[in-house]
Order: sequence, then structure tokens, then C-alpha cells
Amino acid sequence: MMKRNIFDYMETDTQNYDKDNFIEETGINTENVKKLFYKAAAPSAKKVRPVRRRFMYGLAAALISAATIVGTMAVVAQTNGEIVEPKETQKTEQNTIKKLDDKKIAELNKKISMEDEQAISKLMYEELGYDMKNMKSSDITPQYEIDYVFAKAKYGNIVYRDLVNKAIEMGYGDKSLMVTDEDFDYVRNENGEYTANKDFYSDETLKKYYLRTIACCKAYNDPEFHITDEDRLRMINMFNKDYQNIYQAVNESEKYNDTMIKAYELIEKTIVPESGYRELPLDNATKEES
Amino acid sequence: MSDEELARRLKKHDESAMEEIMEVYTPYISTIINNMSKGGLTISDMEEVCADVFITLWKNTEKLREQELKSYIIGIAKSRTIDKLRAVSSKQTIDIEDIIYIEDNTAEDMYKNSDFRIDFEQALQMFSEDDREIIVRYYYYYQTVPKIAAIKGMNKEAVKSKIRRAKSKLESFFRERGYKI
Repeated sequence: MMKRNIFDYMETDTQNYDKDNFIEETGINTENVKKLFYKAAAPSAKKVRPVRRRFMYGLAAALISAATIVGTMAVVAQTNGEIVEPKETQKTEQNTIKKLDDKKIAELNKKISMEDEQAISKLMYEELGYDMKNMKSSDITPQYEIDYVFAKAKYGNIVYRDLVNKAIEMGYGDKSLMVTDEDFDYVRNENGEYTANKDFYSDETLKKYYLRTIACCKAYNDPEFHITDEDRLRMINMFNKDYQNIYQAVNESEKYNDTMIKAYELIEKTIVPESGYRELPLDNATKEES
Repeated sequence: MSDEELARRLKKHDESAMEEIMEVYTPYISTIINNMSKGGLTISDMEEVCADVFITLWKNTEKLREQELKSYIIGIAKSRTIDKLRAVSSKQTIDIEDIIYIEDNTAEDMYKNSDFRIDFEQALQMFSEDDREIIVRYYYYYQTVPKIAAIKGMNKEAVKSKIRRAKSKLESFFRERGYKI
């Protein structure tokens, strides 16, 4: 039987606490809620109102965002470590974009914080020369979208590297697990073409991912790790991405299935909001692995 | 208009009362859903949950007690959020604090038991205004410890420790009164 927190059922003096500062801006649109309500409960059909589309940064930004994560996943899934030709990449992204609905776009947008956007813009400017502040719609070319996808992927790698390396520096993993630029999923060659890391799905890489995950999970409970809520969100996203990438490989190679399931279970048990209240059987999980 | 009046009209299936409830409660419910889901739900998902809360309310008006509109809505919101989190992703970790767990149906029975509610209100009086606010922020609005710490101008450890002490105090309080916790 499902257990619930006793507080879920309590009626207390919260009335006294209904101050404005308890209510937060969540992005939820009351009109959309009403529309969904009337559609399902339909007390009166005439009350259905038009829904404002919720593209956060307009269509261009939505397309970019869509290409960003899903495109990255699609490229990873399809390259299997081979060199990616720019034309193929473009086709993948366009196909992916067509399949996306509002819900998916909203989900993707939500994952990109302003801080992350700025960091990606900086990479776009410093490494690829795009002046992001003065972009016009005509500047959003297919090549720009490809570049943006990879800038995002690189940024993801940087966040991942920083978290993993911090955990390892704190002694939660062997130094050989340190992430270097060479470990990044993609590199851009001298012709400006992007290539996937050829060792991406190698046995060694998969094992490293797993051990790095364990290092971070262990560090996560150490107060010295000092990660912010945003870092936590990034960390979850990064590890989910790892898991998805690895899972893709597992499906193809039928290797590491048990290992990766264990790794994922560990992530699920460990990377939780408010971890400060949980005592986790990390040692057991690690022993099982070793 | 008071909640009691709204509930009375709602029980008569008054659509304008429902409309008003949606206006008044959407921001509040949104805050709860948003804080509970901790980034695990998209805005669209949260809007669905929010709408689902109102649909459930609309379809169950006969169960509603006039004095309990707010707590009834909160209860639905929490349970629908948990359902949604489970539905959207098996990867989603749902962190329902393992503070004072009791069997699901027993919790509802206890809630309906007026003695228990009186005891609970008494229990809350054990805490200072400041501590009570932390408890409410944490358990009712599902705010995170770092957020509460920032709002209250305290460090995170101090907030955690206050919550930990509150849990233990509440637990003893109810045990002493013969509740199975």
C-alpha cells in the first residue's frame, strides 16, 4: 500500500501563512488550466478560451532548443562513434524538430536556465564567432543550428567535467577517471566539421561513465561537495543523459546491461532533492560493483 | 467571497463558483505542484495536474465539506502531483519525506477524526512562530531547505536541524497520545 506523509492530510493554520511571498511564479497559465478543465469536465463548452502559445523565446529559440537536446541525443544515438557528416546531422535535426510538440519544447526550454544560455552564448561567440546579442532571424541558418547543438553539447560536457572532477579531487574516485577535453563527446575538426568521440561506446568508456557516476553519487552526500540546486538539476540531467547514451549502447551491444541498471538505480537512489535527510547504502552498492 | 460560500455554491454545481475557485487557487496549487515536483514536471504537465485537481473537485463536490475546501484541494493537488511524477518517468525520484508515515487509509481516517485534528493543532503550538513558519514552508509549500534558508536569512544546516527537531518532537507528541506512527 502506498504510504503518504501524514502532513498531506492535515488541516492546520496555513490560512495564516497565505502571504504573497509563499506563492511563487511557476509559469503556469490560469487560462490554460481552465481550458484543460473545461475540455475534460465540460460544465460549459462556451467557456473554452484560446490558449496563448508558450514559446519562451519565440519560434526561433524554440527550434534551437529543440535541436539542442533532442538533436544531441539523436546524433549520439545514430553516430555510434562514427564521424558525423554535417549534412546528415542537419537532416536528423530537421526530422526531429518536426516531431516535437509544444509539450516537448516547453520541457526542453525549462531545462535551459538563463545562466546556461549565457554560457552557451559565450561559447558560440568565443569559439565560433557568432554575435548572439545581435542575431537576426536571417542568421539562424541550418549551420547555426548545428553549431548551437554542439555548443550546447560542449557546455554539457564542461558542466559534467567540473562536477566529476570535483568529486574525484575530493577523493571519491581514482584520478584516472578525471574528465579531460579528450573525453568530450564531440570535437570540431580543423575543417569545422563535428566528429563524435570514436571511443564513445567502447567498453572502457562505458565503465568510466559508471565509475564516475559512483564518484559523484558518493560525493553528493559530502557537505564539502557544495552543489547548488541548479547544479543538482544539471547533475541529474547529465546523469540521465549518460544513462540514456549508455542505455542506447547497451541496446546495441547487449553488454553492461546489469551494470548499467545498477548504476542507474544508484543515481535514482542518490541524486534526490533534499539529500541531507537520507542515509544511503552507497557502500553496499559500491561493494556489489567491485 | 469566503471559501465556505464558494464550497456551498460548488456543491450546487454552480459553474461560476468553479471559475472563481480556479482563479483564486491556481497560483496556490501551482506553487505546491512546482515545489513538490522540483523540476520533474514541465509547465504543461503542471497545468495538466492543476486542471486535474479542479476536475476531481468538480466531480466530487458531494464529498466536499464546506469548511474544508482548501484542505480538500491541497490533498488532491498533492496526490495528483505524486501520481503524475510516477507517470511521467520511471526515472523520476519522488522524494516524499520519510517523516511520519502511516498507512494511506489510516491517514485519511485520522484526518477526519476531529480529536486528532485538535491534537495536531495543539502540537503546532509547541513551536515558535518562526519554527512554525519553517514547518509550513517545508511541508505545505514544499519549499527546499536552501530556499527556506535564503528567505529566513539562516544557513541551511540551521534550517535542516530545525526541521529534524520538529519531526522528532511531533513524533513523540503523537506517540505519547497513542497514535501509531
